Formats: sequence, structure tokens, C-alpha cells
Amino acid sequence: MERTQELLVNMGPQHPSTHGVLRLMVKLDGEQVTWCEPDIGYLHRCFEKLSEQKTYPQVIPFTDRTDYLAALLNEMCYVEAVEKLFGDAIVVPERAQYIRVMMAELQRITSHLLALGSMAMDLGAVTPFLYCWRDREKIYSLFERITGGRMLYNYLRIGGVRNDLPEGIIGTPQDGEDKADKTIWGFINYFDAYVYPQWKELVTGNRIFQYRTQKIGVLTAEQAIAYAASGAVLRGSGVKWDLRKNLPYSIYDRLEFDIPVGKNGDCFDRWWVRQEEMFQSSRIVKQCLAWLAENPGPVMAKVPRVLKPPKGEIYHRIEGARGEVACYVVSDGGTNPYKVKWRSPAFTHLQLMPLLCPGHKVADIIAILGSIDVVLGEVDR
Amino acid sequence: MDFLKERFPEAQFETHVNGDTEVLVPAERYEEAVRACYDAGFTYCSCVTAIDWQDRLTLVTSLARINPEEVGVPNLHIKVDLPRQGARIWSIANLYPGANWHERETYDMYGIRFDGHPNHRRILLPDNWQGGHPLLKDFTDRRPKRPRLVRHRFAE
Amino acid sequence: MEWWNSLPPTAQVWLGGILKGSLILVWGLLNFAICLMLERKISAWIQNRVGPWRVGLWGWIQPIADLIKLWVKEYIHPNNVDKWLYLIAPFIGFVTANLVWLIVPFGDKFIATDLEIGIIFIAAVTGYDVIATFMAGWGSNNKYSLLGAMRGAAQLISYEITMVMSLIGVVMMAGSLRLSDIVLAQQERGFLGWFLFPQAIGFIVYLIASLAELNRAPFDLAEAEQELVAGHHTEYSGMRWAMFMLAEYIHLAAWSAIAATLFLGGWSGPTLGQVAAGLGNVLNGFGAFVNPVGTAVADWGMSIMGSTVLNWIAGVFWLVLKTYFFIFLAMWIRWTLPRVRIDQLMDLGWKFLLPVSLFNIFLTGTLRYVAVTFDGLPISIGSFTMRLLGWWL
Repeated sequence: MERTQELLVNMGPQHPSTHGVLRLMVKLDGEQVTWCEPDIGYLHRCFEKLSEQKTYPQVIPFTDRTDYLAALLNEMCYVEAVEKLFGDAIVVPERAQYIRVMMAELQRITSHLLALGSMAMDLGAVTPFLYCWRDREKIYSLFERITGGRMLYNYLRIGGVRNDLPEGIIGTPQDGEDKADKTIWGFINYFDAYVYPQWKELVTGNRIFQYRTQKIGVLTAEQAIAYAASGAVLRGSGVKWDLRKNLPYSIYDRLEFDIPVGKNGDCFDRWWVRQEEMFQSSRIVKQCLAWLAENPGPVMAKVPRVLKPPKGEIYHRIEGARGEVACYVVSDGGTNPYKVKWRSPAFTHLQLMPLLCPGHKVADIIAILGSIDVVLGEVDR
Repeated sequence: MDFLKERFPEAQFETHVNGDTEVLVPAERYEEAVRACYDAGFTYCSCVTAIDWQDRLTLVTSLARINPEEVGVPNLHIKVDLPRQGARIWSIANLYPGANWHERETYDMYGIRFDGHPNHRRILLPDNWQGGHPLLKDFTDRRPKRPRLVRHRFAE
Repeated sequence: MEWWNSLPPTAQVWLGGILKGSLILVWGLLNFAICLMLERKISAWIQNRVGPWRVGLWGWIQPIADLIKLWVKEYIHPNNVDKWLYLIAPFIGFVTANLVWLIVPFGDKFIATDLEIGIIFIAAVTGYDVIATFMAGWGSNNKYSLLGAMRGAAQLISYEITMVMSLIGVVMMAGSLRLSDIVLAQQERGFLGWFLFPQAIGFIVYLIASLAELNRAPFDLAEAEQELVAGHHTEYSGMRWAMFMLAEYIHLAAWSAIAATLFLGGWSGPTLGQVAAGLGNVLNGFGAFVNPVGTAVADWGMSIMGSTVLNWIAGVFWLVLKTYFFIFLAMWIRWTLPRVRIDQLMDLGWKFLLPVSLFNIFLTGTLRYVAVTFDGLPISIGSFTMRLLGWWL
């Protein structure tokens, strides 16, 4: 008997463009996707269980490894949450706050660069990916001088940062591209003059790229809120919501920046929002640099040797690179956290795949996956 | 959070250090409380998790209001105390689709069952996991048996 | 030659066939090695990298090292494959890629087989390529392979039509399907006689269609790495996999050679003798002091102008130069553009390129008729087409 049958394809866990070990189960009717479900857990490293066995500062390196592409932002979330648990007992010096914000925004640039690069590569353009590595390397060599690590830093401390910026790393606003990997000003000027326009012209303006991404994976604003989307996915759908503005933490209320918002909620808008966010981040970094150059001071608060936050609970949300990073820390008054729950944006965003994929082509799955920008380290923790 | 105080005068209210409100409601009024929050504009479910207090489990549902014009709206945490064995609670996944995976994770890690969940199975741990729920404080089984996985379960 | 003529005709056919075949094979492999290296070097250059650098001078022996590595690699033969299809598929692709080289003219009468139906032969040989892709995809018993093969078959079949249609304009202008005749027809006015100019529309359509035929980015849907792992050759390894790569690059070189032959005048170009004669004349113009040298150079040029071997070498030189121009173009495009989607590809082929190529046939025919009927009319087909193209763009 002749009959037609849908083809069940396992995309992953080993697949060139699943950004880690993600498994997408996809049912295909020809090229058309009729059903899609992600299967996760291949990279589960028991972060939450482990952190119950460690002291408060010992958890910081674990947070690096959740979203390993934006490690500083995760550290910032955890560290600020613990500081808030202490209440007034720990007052973080202002200079440390500025350093944190500046590093976080630089990290956001690296993360978005990789998001853009890997999405372009998923669409078949390999060259932008290599350009993204080239520019990321420059930030990483700066980070290496500041923190000692290139990717996983363990730089933020409860009560401040580990060390002040090294001599001469800030540079002057006149630094050109020849100093892009030597001073932060050099990189920011290089970024504004070359990197950002290059992405705009090379990829965003490309006709094939636009045809591949526009009207693909459309997420309406209501759906985005219902599915707890955040970050570029939420803003791409036209909701002007940024925790840096709407729930200000650290010193973000003193800084000037805009929130780019998309219109249609398709892959192209999410891409566009990321690209514009990089530019806003560079604006923030400039303001921080101007402040840091003039205000020396301590970078570490007076904290007790053994950290024992008072009994209490805290849920702290910050705007990570991929969206809302939040952690729920419960303290029972001891040296170890009683519970740490990591709310990661990529985990939440991956739920969108069954919603967005059906009705599109196989190639669009990859575009959608690239545009919601998942990091599997963060999904599985 | 006056709207909740009016409807749940007997519930315990607490304020976190950062201004978040938490409200402890009885398990049978959980659905009512969540729906009241939803109607009050808290349409964004940031997180669902649980805390193991060793004598009981506490389910924490963190809700937020997304309104671009408002600045600094504190979160709302709805808490429910549940027994450690055979905990069951109404699933919010149909009201907040974004809570789907968070509830699955809570089931996976703490063993709380969610009634009416559209796709109720383990998420981070494999389907053939038999070692219990790892985030419970008394979880010790380090190398549980793993029977051969015959067929993967799908949500259709 | 005496010895050759003394052989019986049957032996001549067989010996000549074997000789030509092995030459074509060697030529194909040579092209493969160069293309592989060029691909790596050009992509490295575009992407701010160095590329292979260790093996040999600037890494130029890398392709040979690659081949040795692939040769000694274990042949992995998956269970549950359709054995014969799986085994034969790579070789069919390889053979068809080499067949195209049989009809490429390298010089005046310097051609393996001067088929009267050259263009039709090209179209026919392409058909086999679909079979290779589909055999590999079906035989591998892999879902990705099957999807890739379906895509490949759909794409090759639809673009074959477009490609042949785009070539008909050239055939109409040359009045022959024979490739050597087409080259000779382009030799009238130096490089201005190339069919590139009167057939600009056909040329562009051919370029796009042949990229799609070759499965190269931005049309590499059959083996779309980010979507289908490696498409129809997901399950292959070692030398069988290398056969697909060989076929891909030999095909690329062959199509570029066809493009050069049909649109850029093929092997036609100044020979060494002509260059020397011209140089001598230029030198003579500088006055009495350089006259002896100039005259000597010009005389030498005149004397070697008739040499068949030197003219053949010049033909090969020009053909290879033009071929590699197209190869470079294909690589440049590949490392710059994102991949299109399958429905966009089909739309482009059927809804845009095919009508345009049909319009090109109509235009060529009309202008040809006008030119022949009103002989001496001050309207060259080329300028008119160019103007029309400019207006249309």
C-alpha cells in the first residue's frame, strides 16, 4: 500500500549548527517542517547541586561556565545577588561598579559579535564568522590583561572586583585602530569606525541575507511576553523592555543609552537589535571610560573573610547578553548557599522552537535557532 | 500588591531585600492567586523553581509585569508549601507558556508533579533516569542504574 | 607520424582514445589540486587568515598531502546501505565531471573530440551528475543524504534547462553546436568579437545557472553543511569522499572552461609569435638605436608565428587563464554570500532566469534577422543588447 509519511529527523546532538550539543527532533513533510521539539540535557553539569556544596565565592567560577560566551554578565548577576543579600553590610565602591559595567558591556559586544557571526555562518556565509573572531580576539586580549583569563574570568568578587585596571589599558580617546588590542579606547574607536559599519554593510545589507531572514520565525509581542522571551528576542518583537532601563541595577541609571527595538519580530529584527545593541554598548563603555580615567579609588569593599549572608532569599534579574539572566539565591545563614537557581534566557528561549519552526523550511530552522542565539552551556547548566 | 492582600488576607506577605514581594498561599488557592496576578498585569513568568526545606518543599513562581513605561516594578513570588512526597500542584504552563520548561525542570529536580501540564516529563535528565530527583537535599545515589532506553517519548 | 599512420584504423582509435583519456584524467587531477589549493588560499585571503603554510613552499604541496591522507584512510562502509549504489555513486560523479573536458578545445584542432553536437553533449553529461548525487543520497540510507539528494536533483534538473536556454543565444550567433566553430566565430575583431558582449544577458544567466549546477555556494543546497551536515555525501569517507571532492572541483574547472570557450573566445588570444612581432614593431618606433633589436625580435616573432606547437601552448595558456578567472569568480562568490533557501532557489530559476533566457533567445533571433536582412545597417547587435540591458537594469 502506498502512503506518505513524515520524515523524523534528529538534528543533533552532533550537528554542525546546533551551537553545542542540542538535539532537535524535527518532522519533515518534504522540506516543510511540521513539528519540532528540542531535547536538551546533554551538557548538564549539576551547577545548582554543586553550588550547594561550595562557599559563596566558590560559586562564581561556576557561573562563568553557564553562559561561557558572556561569563562576566553571569558573574555580575550572581555577585550582585549575594551583595543584596548582605543588605547594607557590603557597599561596593563606585569605581568597582563602573569597572563591572564597562566589562559587562565589552562582554556584551563579544557575545553579540559571536551571535551575529554564528548566525551568518548558519545561513551559509562563513566569512563574517571569521571577521567576528578577529574582532573578539582584540577584546579577549584586553580582558586577558585585565583579568588574567581570556574566556572564563572569575574576576568579579563579592564586594567589588579582584583588581583595578592595569596601567595604561584605558588609553586616550585619540587611540586609533593600531591600538585596538592594546587599549580599551583603541578598541572602541576601532569598533565604531570599522566593525559596526562593516557588519551593517557586509551582512545586514546583503540581499540574500535579508531574503533568508525577513518574515522568518515571526514572534508577535504578545507571544514573546507569554513565552517569557527577553533580551533581543523580546525587543525584536517590538517590546521596548530592557532591564537596564526598566529595573535599573548597578549604575545603569547614570548612563545614557537607547534601546533598539524591532518591528516585525522576525529573524532579521532580532539580528538587527543585536547589531544596534553592540553600538549602544560601545556608547556605555565610552561613558564609563571617561569616568574611570578621572576617578581613582578602591575597587574592593571591606568584606569579612568568611562570607555568611544573613538568612533570606533574593531573586536578582539582570540584562544578560542573551536576555534576562536571573538567579534565585536562598541563604540559611551559613557559608554555603542553601539553594541557587539559575534562570537562563537561552533555556527559556529554546521553548520558542516548537512555536516558531512549523510551517517553515529546513533551512529556516537553522536561521531561527541562530537568531534566538542559544548557548547550550546555559541551557543545560 | 494590594490586589492580592484584598483577596488573600490570610496569606503571609514578605518583602525581599530588593523590594520583591513574596506571598505564601495555601496549595488549593495557588491557581486562584496566579490567575489574580495574571489579571493584574503580571503576564510574564520569569521563573518557576522550588526550595527543599527538608521538611517540606516550597514552590516559587516568580512573576513580573512587562510594561515599557514603568520603571522598577518589583517581582512577585508566589510560594506554595508542598509535602516532600507525592507533591502535586496545578500547572501554570497553559496560562504562561513560557513556564512550560521551568515546570518540567522543577519536576525533574524536585519531583513536584504538575497537573494539566502539556508535556510532563523529564527535561535535563534522561528519560530513563531512575535515581530520583537530584536537587532534593537527601539525594545521594551517585551512579543510578540506567535501563536501556527503548523508545523516546514524544509530546505530540 | 609515419609510424602512427601505419597502424590499422582500429588501433588508431583505441590507442588515441586511451592516450586522450589519460591526458584528460591527468589534466583533471592537476586542476583539482590547483583548485583545492586556490580555494584554501582564496578563502584564507578573504577571511584574514594565512591558510595552509607548512607543507612545501607557502603550503603549496598541501593538496598532495591531503590526497595521501585520504588515500590511506579507512574505508568506512556503514551497515544497511544499498551496497552497489553506495559504492558506484562517487565514481559516476567523477567520470561525468571528466567527460566535459573531452570537448573543450585547447587550440586550433587541439581537442580531444570535436563533437558536432558539443552543446548537447554538455547538457547530456550534466544529466549523469544528477544520477550520481541521487545514487549517493539514496544508497547511503541516511535522512540527511536523502534530503540533500532530493534537493540536488530538483536543483540540477531545473537549472539545467535554464543553462541550456542561456547557451542557445551563443549557438544562434555562431551557427553551430560545435565548440571549435564557436571559438572560431569569436575571432573576428580581437576581444571585441567575444560573445560576452552581444550575449551579456546569456552570459550572466549562464554564470548563475552554472553555479547552481555545480552545487557551489550560494547554491550549495545539496550539501548545505549547516543544515544537512554534508548532504548527499554524509556517509562517505576516505577516498570515496575524495571522489566527490574531485568531481566537484573538476566540474568547476570544466564549467569555467566551457564559459571561457563560449563567452570569452576560448583559446583565442595573441600567440608568442604575434606578441614578439608586435613588440618588435613597437621597439622599432623608438628610433634607429633600437632598430636592430626591434627587427630581430619582430623577425623571430614572424618566424615562429606558424609553429603549431607554440600556438597550441599559447591557446592552452589563454584558455587556462580565462578558466581560472571564472574559478576565481566562483570562489569569490562562495566565500562572500550566504546560501539561498530551496524555494528561493526554485523561484530564481523558474520565475526569473528561465524567462530571461527565453527573452534572450528571442532578442538574439530578432537582432540576427535584422542584421542579416538589413545588411550594413549601423546597428551592432552588441551595442543594442548592452543598451537594452542598461535600460532593463
